[in-house]
Amino acid sequence: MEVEPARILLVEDDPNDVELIQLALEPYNFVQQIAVVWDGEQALHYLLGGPQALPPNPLPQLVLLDLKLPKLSGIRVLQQLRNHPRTCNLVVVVMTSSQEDKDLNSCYDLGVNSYIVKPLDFQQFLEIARQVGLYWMALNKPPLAPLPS
Amino acid sequence: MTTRRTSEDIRAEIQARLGFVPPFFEPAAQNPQIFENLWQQTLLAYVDNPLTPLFKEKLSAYLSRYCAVPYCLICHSCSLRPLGMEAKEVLELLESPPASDTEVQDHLNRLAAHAEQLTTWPEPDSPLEASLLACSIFIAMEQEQAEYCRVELRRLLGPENYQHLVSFSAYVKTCHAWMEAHPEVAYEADQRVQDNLSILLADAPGLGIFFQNYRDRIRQERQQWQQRLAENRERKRSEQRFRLLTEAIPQQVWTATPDGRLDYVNQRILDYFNRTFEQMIGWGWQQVIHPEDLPQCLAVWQHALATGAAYEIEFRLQNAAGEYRWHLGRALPLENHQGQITHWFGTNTDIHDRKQAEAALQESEDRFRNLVETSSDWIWEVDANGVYTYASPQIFNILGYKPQEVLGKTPFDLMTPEEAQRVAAIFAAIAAAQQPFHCLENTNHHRDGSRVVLETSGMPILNPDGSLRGYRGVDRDITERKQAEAEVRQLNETLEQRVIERTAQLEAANQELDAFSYSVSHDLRAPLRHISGFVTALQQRLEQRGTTTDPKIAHYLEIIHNSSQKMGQLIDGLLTLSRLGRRQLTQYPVNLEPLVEAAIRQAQALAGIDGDHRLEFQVSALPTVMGDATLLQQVFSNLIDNAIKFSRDAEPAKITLGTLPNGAIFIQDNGAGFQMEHADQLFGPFQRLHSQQEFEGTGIGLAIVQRIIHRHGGTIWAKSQPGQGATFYLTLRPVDPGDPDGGS
Repeated sequence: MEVEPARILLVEDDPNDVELIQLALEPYNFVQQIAVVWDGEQALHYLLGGPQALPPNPLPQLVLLDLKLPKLSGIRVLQQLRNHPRTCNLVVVVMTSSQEDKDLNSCYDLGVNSYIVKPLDFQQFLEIARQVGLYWMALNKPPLAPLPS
Repeated sequence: MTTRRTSEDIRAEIQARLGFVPPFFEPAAQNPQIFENLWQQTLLAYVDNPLTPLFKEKLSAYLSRYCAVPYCLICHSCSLRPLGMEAKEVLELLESPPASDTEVQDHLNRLAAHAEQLTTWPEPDSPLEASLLACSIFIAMEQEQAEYCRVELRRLLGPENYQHLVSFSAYVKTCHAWMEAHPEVAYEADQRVQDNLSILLADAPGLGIFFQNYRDRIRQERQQWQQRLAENRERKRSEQRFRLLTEAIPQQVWTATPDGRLDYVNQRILDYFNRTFEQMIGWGWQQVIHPEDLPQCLAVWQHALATGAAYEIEFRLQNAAGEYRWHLGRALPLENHQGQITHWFGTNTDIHDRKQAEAALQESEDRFRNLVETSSDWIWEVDANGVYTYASPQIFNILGYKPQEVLGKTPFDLMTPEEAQRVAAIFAAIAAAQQPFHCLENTNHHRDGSRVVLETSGMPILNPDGSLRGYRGVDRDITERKQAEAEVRQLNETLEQRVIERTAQLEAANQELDAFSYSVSHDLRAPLRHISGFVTALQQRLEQRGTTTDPKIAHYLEIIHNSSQKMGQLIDGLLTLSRLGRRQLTQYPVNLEPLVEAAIRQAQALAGIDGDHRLEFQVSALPTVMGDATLLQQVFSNLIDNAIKFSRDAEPAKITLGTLPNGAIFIQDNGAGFQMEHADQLFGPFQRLHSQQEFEGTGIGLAIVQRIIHRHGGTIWAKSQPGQGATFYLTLRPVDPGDPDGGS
């Protein structure tokens, strides 16, 4: 399954944050499509498929993952992604309100690509969203997609 | 005399001088030389002797009592009659015994009292003549006994009369010797006898008897006289010995008559009271006996006088210097053969020093006895075998035994066998070395079976030869102390346990609190971000569309934006604080100098926005401390930011950092400062000493600083005055050069 370029998966339960991120990334053409899921289970389903089903979509180029999620926390999601051959090298950037050392360490231990604390200031938020999008979507050379099984 | 007279010539002269020739001369008539000699002596010593005739005859008659031949006695007795003496008077003279030595002394005293009358020979039959006669008889009859009398008589009579007296006495004795040599001469043939004897005998028949028996009588008299003399001599010697003795001994000695009058005191008494004997006589002891002792002394003395019982009493006598000294007074009655008291004999022995020593000893003994018996400790002595020889009464309160119950036992008898074995081993070593020991703990059984812990201390008692005689020491009951110690120990352990538990509880509570404040701030942050974000988005959209020109709308949006910014800062501060509380410190040696330089650079970069504000930093040597570099960076950033903020009105603003001699690090500014009375609020979260209009801020910066410093085990404080700038002081743990962590 090939990586579809210019698509971002946003895992975020707060619709306000979703809208803000969309608002922030809206002006930039490097984002073609933003898929949004609202909890950890949906995220895993989106990326790995269900027990009986194949994933409904190709892998996105970037996953923006919140940590505080209903049902399954971002950390658990990240853990499962990294343990799965399909997603072990997937670019995952954690975007969270948490500045906890514990969360930070856990994410890096699990091989997160980047850890961003959501700034309060909207301008800063726009700037960070733009930089993250630009970097990971345009500048970063993503790992090769795994061979189809 | 060239030619010797014939016996007839001499006889004729005698006839001429005396009126008759006494038969006395008859034995000498055959030899004119002897005759002449005898006559000349008679003439010179007797006939022509200027002593009064009566005195000469009295003395002659009396002395003739001692002649074995009655011739002289009877002839001179007869001579007294023509001189005026009655027969009775003659008999009285002859029968009177010679004066004793004491009577002679009285006679001498009388003569001495009238010495001026003795220039002429005393009147016949006067008292002076009687005294002179008695003394004359005495010196004629006695030898050494009369020495003093001779000297005294010679002095009193003058040399001439005395010589006449002596030569007369000598002549009388010559006559006696002459008559004893010629006992055949008969007194009956004497003219004086023929004229007077029959009349005398008729007047006083006693004379006849006296003449008949006088030899036996005189012999007896002499014997009695000699005996009395011997007795006197013995008495005198004894008295002399007594005097010597009483003067030699260190005691005061006195004698008194049976009715209690003093008649002798030794020199020691005179010296002690500084009085003469005459002053002592009739002078009462009352004045010198201590008033407290006087009633008993008087009672004893009166009892002794009444009953004749010897006594002994202690009392104080005041000496001439006014000092009272203790004396032991003793008195004994001296009795004669009939058991009558003739004298009291007494001594006073000075026992003052002994008495004082006794009192001192008694006091010392009382003191130690009181100490021993009132001490709450039990005091004991053991012999060399460890057997109790003394136990103070306190043992009863400690072990329940009476002192006499443990005498004969050893300390080990009061312990369990195991304890006894343990303590005996220790004590054996101490006793072998004759060492004192201190606070030797041992467990004993009270009589009621309870356990008593004693603390024993002792000193060795040594014999004069250095061998061990025993030990003397003290046992203290420390049972309660031991229990208290055990309780304290247990309490301490409990306390430690409780502190650990409570600390854990507090830590848990702290963590819960931190987690809560984290969660709250985190959860608050999201909606705030949305407010901030969408207000901004709204502003941009309004600007892009140009749908409103109402300046109020832009102003309100601005306020919402700023307020959400402000709230975000507060929440970030809270988050930082709570994170600090939970964060594990990673401590390494941190050189503060580069750290502070970095903080200054950062601050200068930020402050650079305000172009016309001049800012001067002065940094002297700073130490290397143990700490978390990130957090310490935060400390200095906050403090420097603060200093810059509050000194921005100073021109130029001066900020000084350095280290005090005591190791405290300080950061000083010349800014607005604060009032010291508010210093306690300085480090409280959200506490501010200035309004937002004066100096903006959240009030969280110094709270963070204090929290970091406290987490490092340091302290922070500040001093200031309004308008005078502020100085913050902080202490951190310097790196010990010997610390292996600090060495690299």
